[in-house]
Amino acid sequence: MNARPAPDDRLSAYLDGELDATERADVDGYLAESPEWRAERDAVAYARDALRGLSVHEAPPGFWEGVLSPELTRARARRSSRLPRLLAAATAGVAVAAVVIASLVIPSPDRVTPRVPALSDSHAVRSSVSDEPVSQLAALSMITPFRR
Amino acid sequence: MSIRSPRGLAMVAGVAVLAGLAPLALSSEPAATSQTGPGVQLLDDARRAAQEQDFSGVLEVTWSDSRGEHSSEVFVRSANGVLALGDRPRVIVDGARRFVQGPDGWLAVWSQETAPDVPPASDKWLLSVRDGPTVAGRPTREVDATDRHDDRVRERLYLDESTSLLLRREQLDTRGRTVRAVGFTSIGEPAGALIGALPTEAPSAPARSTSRQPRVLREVTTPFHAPGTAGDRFRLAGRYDEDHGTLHLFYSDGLFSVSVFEQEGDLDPAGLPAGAESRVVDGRDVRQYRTPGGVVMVWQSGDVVYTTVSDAPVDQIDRVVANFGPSGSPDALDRVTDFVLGPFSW
Repeated sequence: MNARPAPDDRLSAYLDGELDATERADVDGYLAESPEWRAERDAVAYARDALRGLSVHEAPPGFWEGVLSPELTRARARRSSRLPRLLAAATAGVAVAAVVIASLVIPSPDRVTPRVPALSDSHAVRSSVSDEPVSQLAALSMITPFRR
Repeated sequence: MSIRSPRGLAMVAGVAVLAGLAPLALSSEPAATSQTGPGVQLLDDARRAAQEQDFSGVLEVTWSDSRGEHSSEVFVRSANGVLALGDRPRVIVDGARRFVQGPDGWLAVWSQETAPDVPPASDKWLLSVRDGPTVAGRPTREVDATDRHDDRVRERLYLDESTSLLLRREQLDTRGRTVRAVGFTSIGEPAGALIGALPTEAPSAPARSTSRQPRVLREVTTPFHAPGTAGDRFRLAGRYDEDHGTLHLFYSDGLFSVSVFEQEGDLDPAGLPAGAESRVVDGRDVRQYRTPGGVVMVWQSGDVVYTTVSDAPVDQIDRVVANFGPSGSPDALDRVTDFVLGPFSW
């Protein structure tokens, strides 16, 4: 024995005469056997008839423009102002990505610690060639905390 | 080094022109001898006397830094044209050659005869001569070097009246206080000298040494910078390629000299010697050391780390520093770049 399904949207199609013969026979069987199907059929029929019974009136001139134009205008404005911002954001994103990639690809500058005592010696040696050698080289021969 | 920019080409062209003109502008004799005046002549005599006179003595170096005044003594002897400094010599001078004792033996650190490449001291300094005090028991002639611009005496030199040996030199600050001095406390005949024979302890040039000599450069490439003049009338007298990609520029005003070392990269201060004083010189953050040999300054500008070493007064060095790299704090682009790249600078 097949289980009876719960009422569904076949009822609306049933009322509109849109079901084929097989489907219509099925719905007729459900309606005959089930108070639930019948109650649902009555509710759908009521709503359907109520909507179709409403009268249609034309809106006064300018009504829709008054309702929709400001919103449309704002929407258009939002779209037009959003475009440059989107472009700027995209450009910034590309720039940041380029910088990040560049920082990964291009080696960062070497870290340099000047060998200060050795450079001092180089200066003393060079200056002793042009100047009086004893006074220029005296410090080079000394053991000082700076040189250690 | 090769030329990589139009600026470099222009610089090299300028240097080449200067190099071409140099022989015309400078005589073949040492610069000092081409100048007139007893002061210039005495300084030139002192340069030669240290190697031509035989002597031995004790030299005292005094200097001051942020921790106070210091002094240290060095034994010096000279015989037969060879000069040695240190009880067990650590430095040997033999003509144009310079040897320094390294951890694994002697290093030959210089051997080049240099052209008369420094400007005459009398261009910038007024050299006045008078009778000086007795130094290490010897009568002296005193040479006072006065800046022609501000009439301040910045260096006093005392020369042995009979041999012209430089017995003492004192450096003065702008207020006339002695900030560094090098002078003999005793001096006499070479130790162990024998009449008519070679002194038994005569110094001699090392038979073996390892070369550590800088290479003379004819051009300088970016990002390095080598102005022909710097500071207060210091003239570029030499460009050298030192170890570790270090450019060495040597400037002189005839009395003092300044070496400017340039290295490409970012300054890593962690490995610098302790005892630096922090200063701001023409907008640059400078670490300064006052040492027995003079003043050392380290700073960074752009992609170059600079180190200056000089026996000149600090105010003179400051003016040289101002010639290297842009001054002031980093511009907006530098700050933005640092901000963005900072986290990735591992």
